[in-house]
Amino acid sequence: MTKEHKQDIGLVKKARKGSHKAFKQLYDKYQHQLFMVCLRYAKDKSQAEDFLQESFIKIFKGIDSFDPEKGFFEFWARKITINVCLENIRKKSLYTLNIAGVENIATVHEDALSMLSKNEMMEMIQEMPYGYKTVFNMYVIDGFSHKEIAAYMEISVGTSKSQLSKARNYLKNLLLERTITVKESHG
Amino acid sequence: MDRFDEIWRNSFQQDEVKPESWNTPSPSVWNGIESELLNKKKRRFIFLLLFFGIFSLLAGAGLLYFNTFNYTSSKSEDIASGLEQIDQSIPMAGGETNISDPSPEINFRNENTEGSEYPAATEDSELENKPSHEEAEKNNEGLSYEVPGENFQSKGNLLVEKSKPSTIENQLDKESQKTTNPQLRKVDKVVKNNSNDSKSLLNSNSVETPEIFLFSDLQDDLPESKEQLATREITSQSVNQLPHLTKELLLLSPAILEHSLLDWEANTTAKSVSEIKPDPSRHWHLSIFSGASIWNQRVGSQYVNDLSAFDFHFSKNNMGFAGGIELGLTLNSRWEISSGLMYESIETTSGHNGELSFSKNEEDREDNSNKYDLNLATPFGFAATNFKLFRDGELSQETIQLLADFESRHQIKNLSIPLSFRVYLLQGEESPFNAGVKLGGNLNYLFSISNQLKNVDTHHDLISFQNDLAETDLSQNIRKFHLNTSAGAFVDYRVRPSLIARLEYTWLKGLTDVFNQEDYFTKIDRHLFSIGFQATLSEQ
Repeated sequence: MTKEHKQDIGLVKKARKGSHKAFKQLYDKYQHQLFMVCLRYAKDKSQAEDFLQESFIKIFKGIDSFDPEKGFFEFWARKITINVCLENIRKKSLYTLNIAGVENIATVHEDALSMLSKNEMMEMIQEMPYGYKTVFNMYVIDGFSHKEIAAYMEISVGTSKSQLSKARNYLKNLLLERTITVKESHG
Repeated sequence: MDRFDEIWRNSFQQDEVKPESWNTPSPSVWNGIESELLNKKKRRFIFLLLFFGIFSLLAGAGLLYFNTFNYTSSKSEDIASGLEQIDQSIPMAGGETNISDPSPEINFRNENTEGSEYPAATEDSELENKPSHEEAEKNNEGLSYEVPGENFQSKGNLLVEKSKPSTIENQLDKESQKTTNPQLRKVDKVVKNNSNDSKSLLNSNSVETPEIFLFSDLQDDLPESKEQLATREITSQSVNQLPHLTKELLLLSPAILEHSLLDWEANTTAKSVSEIKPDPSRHWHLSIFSGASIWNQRVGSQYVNDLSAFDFHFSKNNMGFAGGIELGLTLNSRWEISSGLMYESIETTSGHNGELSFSKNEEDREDNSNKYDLNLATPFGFAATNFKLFRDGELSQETIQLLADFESRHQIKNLSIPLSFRVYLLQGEESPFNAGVKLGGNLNYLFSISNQLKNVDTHHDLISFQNDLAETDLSQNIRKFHLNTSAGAFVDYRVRPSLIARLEYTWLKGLTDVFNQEDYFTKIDRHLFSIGFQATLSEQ
């Protein structure tokens, strides 16, 4: 058990007893990490803040159900946050499948991608339509399988795969545009 | 997973995230979470209070219903048993009544059947008892009665014709006629030669015995205790319910009646007095009360001293409503313990003065106002306030210095759970009044407290304040839970055996702070004047 994990368990125990301070410490510790999850799924910062607030309220209200033996608090909180984001997207019918074709980019300079800051990468994700963004986030970053995505989004596995493919191409196009823009500005 | 995906995953799956402006949520997120958490706590507390209150009410209502039902039943049984005793002491026709304890020890003997002047009704009767009393043998009227003395012993029975239940009404008419029979008058002369009123009534044709007459003679003989007076009404009502025949017999035999009543009265008096007196046994009771609560904010001297230059005052018009419900248990004849729920709604004002500057150059051109952000000093701490002062006329460009008086209104709603021990000081059994003192404490919860800037008197004709545009935040240092001790005195008046009206004064002294910030603090003392009712629910 890591020191971090022990510290989290201590805070969770205090929070369960109603310690306001413990709630605040947990929030301070994980706000950035969970906010990034929300930013990936949301269209903008404001919506991400709504998702984050709802997530933390769910986390704190359900803190009694957190079992330290089953995993880290961080993962448990992250899972709740992803669920809140997906629930909001589905509830508000934000998710629509993008059927328009995206030009397949054969080669992408991956070095250019790795040179991007997280903020820039986040901006690129946020620029994607909900359909691409959701499947991309779920599959590439959060590790869902196509089967899980299909079940959750109520689409077929094939659709999930095609949406992912289009999302990748969309991002590659964006990356290409950015690279060109950067080159032009330097040139 | 290709390299492209891997870069994305690694970028966003890192454990450590460096806080930057773009990945930091605004403070409003935490505020929203915090308010939700506080609301949850608040809801939980209110739920507990409501649960306790509703449970108390339901339990009280159930016990009250149960007790009322039992009380009515026992009351009916008391009356029925009283009537039964009268019936037993005045044997009815045709039945043999063994006069035994606890019924009056009255001995009727018909010693000489042939020579009897007793009415025809007795002619069919068998006389079982032989004369056994010498004095009775000397009684040439055949029918004698004995008033039991100190050494009296029951010596016999009286056999009288018994009416069949199916013909009771006809029999009653016959008996009525018999009662007015002249022979009967003769008997009465023997039996009751000292009752002129009785005779005159018997000589009349009316069998309706006026209640006032029936008891007027007896009352002279009855011991004049208040307990007996208290039961007289019950006795009177009971006798009025008797059949005419029985009434007549009562009239014929005042001594019998006297002893019947005395004996029965002894029984019923014991019961009645036990109902009127405080019951020494344990029982539950439910109280409701309402009244006026006067709050006195006990502000720390340091706070007052530091603000004295600003003419800080902190308690004015601090009166409000108080009401509540309590469930109590009488431990013994002197002690009671009770707890419940009390609600108070108080409005107080506080104030101080301060300097403000008004500048025409800095005013909002839309409404000719200057905006101010400042901290108001209140008994509940410093409250951040936004307000505007409006210019109502033309002023010079120079900045005007104002010495303004600020008045803040504080609306407080307090829920508390009182725990009280009451001691009865008077133990009078005769008076319906009782008095005592109480000691205890309260756990309080300020479930709503608000500060509002009510007025800013600028002492300037052209610069005014509109209180509906002022916003005042509550001090951040309010402590919603606070404790107090309580002491008081009360006077009870027993309205009914199971109902008490209560007038009570309680002094509540704050133990813990409602506001605390460094060296500054405020405690709350209260004076509570209440009237209420306490209903006895059940005996344990």
